[in-house]
Amino acid sequence: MGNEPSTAADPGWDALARTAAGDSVAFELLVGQNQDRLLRLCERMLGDVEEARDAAQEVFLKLYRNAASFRPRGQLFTLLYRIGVNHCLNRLRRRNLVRFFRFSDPGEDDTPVFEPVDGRPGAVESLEARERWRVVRQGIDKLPSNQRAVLILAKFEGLSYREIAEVLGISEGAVESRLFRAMRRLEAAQESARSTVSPAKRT
Amino acid sequence: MNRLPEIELMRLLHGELPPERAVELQERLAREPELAEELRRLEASWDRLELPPAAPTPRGFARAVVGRAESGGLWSVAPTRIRAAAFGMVAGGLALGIGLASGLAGTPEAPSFAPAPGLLAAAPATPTVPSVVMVPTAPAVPIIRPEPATPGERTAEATAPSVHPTASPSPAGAQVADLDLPADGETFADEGTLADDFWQAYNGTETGAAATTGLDIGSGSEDL
Repeated sequence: MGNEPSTAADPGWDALARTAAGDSVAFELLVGQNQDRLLRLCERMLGDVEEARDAAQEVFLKLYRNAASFRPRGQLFTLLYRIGVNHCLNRLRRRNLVRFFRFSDPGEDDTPVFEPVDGRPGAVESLEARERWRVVRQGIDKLPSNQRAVLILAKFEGLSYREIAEVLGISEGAVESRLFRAMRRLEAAQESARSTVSPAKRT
Repeated sequence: MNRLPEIELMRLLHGELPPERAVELQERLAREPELAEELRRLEASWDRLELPPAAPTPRGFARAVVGRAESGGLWSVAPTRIRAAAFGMVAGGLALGIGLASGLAGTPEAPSFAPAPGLLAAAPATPTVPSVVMVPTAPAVPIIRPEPATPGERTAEATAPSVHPTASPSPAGAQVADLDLPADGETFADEGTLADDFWQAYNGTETGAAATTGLDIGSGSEDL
């Protein structure tokens, strides 16, 4: 496929083709080049480091299994993101399903406890930052799955609207509409968190 | 503020507006402080969306993935459809085996297909094959002839189909006449006219209350 410039521009496709031919060194190279961003995406999507590692491994295994069936088009990372987002959304769906069939209390939550590691200096700043992150994380967890994916790809992965549209297989208009709605919801969540925290702080 | 300028502001914030549209919007922002305030609010809430830095990638992650892909054998790397098909075949085989086992064990006396000893003795040593094979003819099909319909009388009738002379008669070809169709010269009660003798035969009177209530033909037929 010499007449496809985007394919030639991304050496990842070549590594994938060699993986399909049984070259495990090429596959290891491919994993090494993309593991950071895929792990980060899964962690943002799922909100749990351990689950994110499992999910990222499974995404790479899916890529390995189906290496021969992917047609080189655009950048390889968009394909990885697409598989990753779908895989994480399936995991979230399963998580919700398990919660539903357990008939658990509404207060009882299976979402992993969010305990971020704070590397910043200063105890007070650290505490405030953790509280801010917790509010943002809770807000993201409450977003509908399609809005969550768009927001994470835009805000935390820094993808353009066009790239997000390519990853999710939707139009750019749908991207901006979902992003706008996600922002609105998160603003409301932050407002309500502030209003509930403020009286406690006063006392 | 309506939604369109807000989305435009968000696109401006994310650097997604075309340059000429961005210039237009910047000019408008300079003129309208309310719009500028909205942009500041959007920017602040976008910046507040902060999560901790992602956990570092574990050492040897890539090697572990490759190892899992290689050592998992065919099963772990087989596409989902193949694994589903294999699982289905195993499950089907198990179900068939269990079904057969329980079926044979469940019947008190399993049927024997071996011939009785007397039959074996009576059978000729070399079987004779008849030179002419008799093929049974098609069974005779009763044809019910249509009776001429009496005006005002509705009967169930069966008619023989119009059969092509070369076609063989088939029992499936016989048709039962549609009982809802009126006989020649007759119309249904709800169509407005009905033979007088029908009423007389039914109740002895054509305007009696029993005639209308018994037949439940509605008020329209009372004019009869």
